[in-house]
Amino acid sequence: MSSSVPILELAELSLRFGGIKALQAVSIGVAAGRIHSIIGPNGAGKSTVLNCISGMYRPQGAIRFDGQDLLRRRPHERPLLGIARTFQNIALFREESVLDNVMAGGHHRLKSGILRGALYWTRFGCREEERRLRDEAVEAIELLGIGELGERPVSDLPFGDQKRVELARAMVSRPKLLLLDEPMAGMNDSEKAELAQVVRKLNREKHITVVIIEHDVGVVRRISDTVTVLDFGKKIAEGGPEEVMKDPAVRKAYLGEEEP
Amino acid sequence: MNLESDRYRSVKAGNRLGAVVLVLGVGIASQFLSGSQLALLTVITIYALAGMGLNLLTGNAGLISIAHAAFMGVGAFSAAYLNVNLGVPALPSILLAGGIAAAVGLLFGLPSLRLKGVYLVMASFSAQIILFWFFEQARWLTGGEDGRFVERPIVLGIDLQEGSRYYLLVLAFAVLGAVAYANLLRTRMGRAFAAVRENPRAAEIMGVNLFRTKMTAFAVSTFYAGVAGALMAWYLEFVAIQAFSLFISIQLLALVIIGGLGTLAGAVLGALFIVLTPELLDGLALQLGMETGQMAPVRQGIFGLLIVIFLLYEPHGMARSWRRLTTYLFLKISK
Ligand SMILES: Nc1ncnc2c1ncn2[C@@H]1O[C@H](COP(=O)(O)OP(=O)(O)OP(=O)(O)O)[C@@H](O)[C@H]1O
Ligand SMILES: [Mg+2]
Repeated sequence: MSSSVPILELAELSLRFGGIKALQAVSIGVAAGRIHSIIGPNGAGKSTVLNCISGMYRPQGAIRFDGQDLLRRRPHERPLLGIARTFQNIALFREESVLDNVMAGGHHRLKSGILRGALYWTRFGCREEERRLRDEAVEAIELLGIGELGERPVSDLPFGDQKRVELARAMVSRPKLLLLDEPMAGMNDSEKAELAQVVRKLNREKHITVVIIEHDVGVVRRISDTVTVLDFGKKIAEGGPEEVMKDPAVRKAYLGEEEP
Repeated sequence: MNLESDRYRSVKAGNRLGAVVLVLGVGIASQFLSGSQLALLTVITIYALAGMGLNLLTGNAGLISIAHAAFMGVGAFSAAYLNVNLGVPALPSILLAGGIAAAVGLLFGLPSLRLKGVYLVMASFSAQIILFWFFEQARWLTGGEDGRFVERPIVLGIDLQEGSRYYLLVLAFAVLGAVAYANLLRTRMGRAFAAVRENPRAAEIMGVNLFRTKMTAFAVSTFYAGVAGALMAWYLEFVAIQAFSLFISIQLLALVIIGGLGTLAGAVLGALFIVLTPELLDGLALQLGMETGQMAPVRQGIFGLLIVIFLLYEPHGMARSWRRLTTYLFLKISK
């Protein structure tokens, strides 16, 4: 087991949208090298937590990542710090090909600007770094089983494959922390199992810390080291998956939901 | 990898070969064309270059401008002033003209950080108005409403008075511009432009600095416009500020939309369409025995109608039809 030093610390996060208290003093510590799930009923504030981490919302409270005060950083600085994410309702560059989308994940790692881009194949050009990035992007989509879709525009693809493209794009950014918002939505059980395998692999082999939002309790049980449960913007439970699932407050929160 | 991408790659290689043949063909043909044909070819080539610049901004980065003729004007008068008045050699004058247009473009691009869609169009409209007003006032630079004369330069010891020689200079810049454009599109900044256009929120999360990327798009785009303007000034020799009016700006926007947003072929095909259609309509009218006076309004009407028909039936522009055609032919031949 890896160390339990928190790489990411959310302290007393609160955020409201008009009358809705989306987050109420939520504190979560994510240990380095773990897979940390966030679960809870619809509207509990799960996506809001990820949006705060990636700088799209500005909550009250504090967010520390790897010794940095994240609330002082602009959204586009996240990849440089080592944070990548996927979105619940897909945020791809729709008219671009799968490979171009995935390669966009490498934006912060490459250096070439206009001149080195325009001079592509000359000595000053960026052909080498582009090729390396492309190889890495191909590797990522092959790992996710969509290797043959590289040249297709993403808007042609079914929902599940678009989710895979998002994950590949996040992988190519080589994050330390990967935030996944329902990456398995729209997949059947065997597809979910395959994707869970990939997430595990990234976590074990590349030592990427993962925060994942997932509704499928079975999946959550299998892959999580730690589970945080949110309900109406509040943290109602946290701990190992088995322990959390037994918690009466959690069972109550899930009552009336599709899944126990 | 697999069949699909192999095919894709060979179609691409075919396109590249086609482009080389086209450039060589046009270069050689230009030396044998009549005066009026050469004039058309020169204007098409210059508009294609300006079109690439506007396409980068509008087609790729998704930022609409109806001020690009004004940016061409900035380039045109800068080059004229540098070369004719200050005696700066022609090639540096052209590049500096591009640089000055880019600096002005950056300034007028600033609102794009806050403004989107139709509001951004209005901002570029005011850029066009302000710059055109400046052209009217700055008689020392532009000759104001009387226009000014710009003598064609001597480049690397070659006198470019002769239209066919001058065309080779224009072609050289267009080819450089095209190569740079194609290269940009497939590299990091090209992807950043597309990201900003398609999904700014996701672009930011990928590490794209929106402000920097938009400013870069403006700078590069208006650099192209400035260079195209410089080339236009020397082609015209007598430069009237009307060559850089709002009407021309809108024509340039029509060029990239009809030709195909975001593609190199789109800029070239759009330039062909914009320049040749009115000519063909004129020819047709002459055949039908119409008089010049009757022709003009009818021509404008039909031209406008053609644009609308295009938007309705091929919203992705001529480049899309062109690609379908060449891919089809290529696969036929390679079987
Ligand atoms: N940008 C926003 N503007 C207004 N309200 C918002 C916004 N984002 C989230 N909310 C509200 O905040 C609450 C929490 O939303 P959030 O998206 O975080 O839920 P969630 O736990 O991800 O739910 P789901 O499982 O449905 O994805 C909801 O009531 C939602 O309507
Ligand atoms: Mg959500």
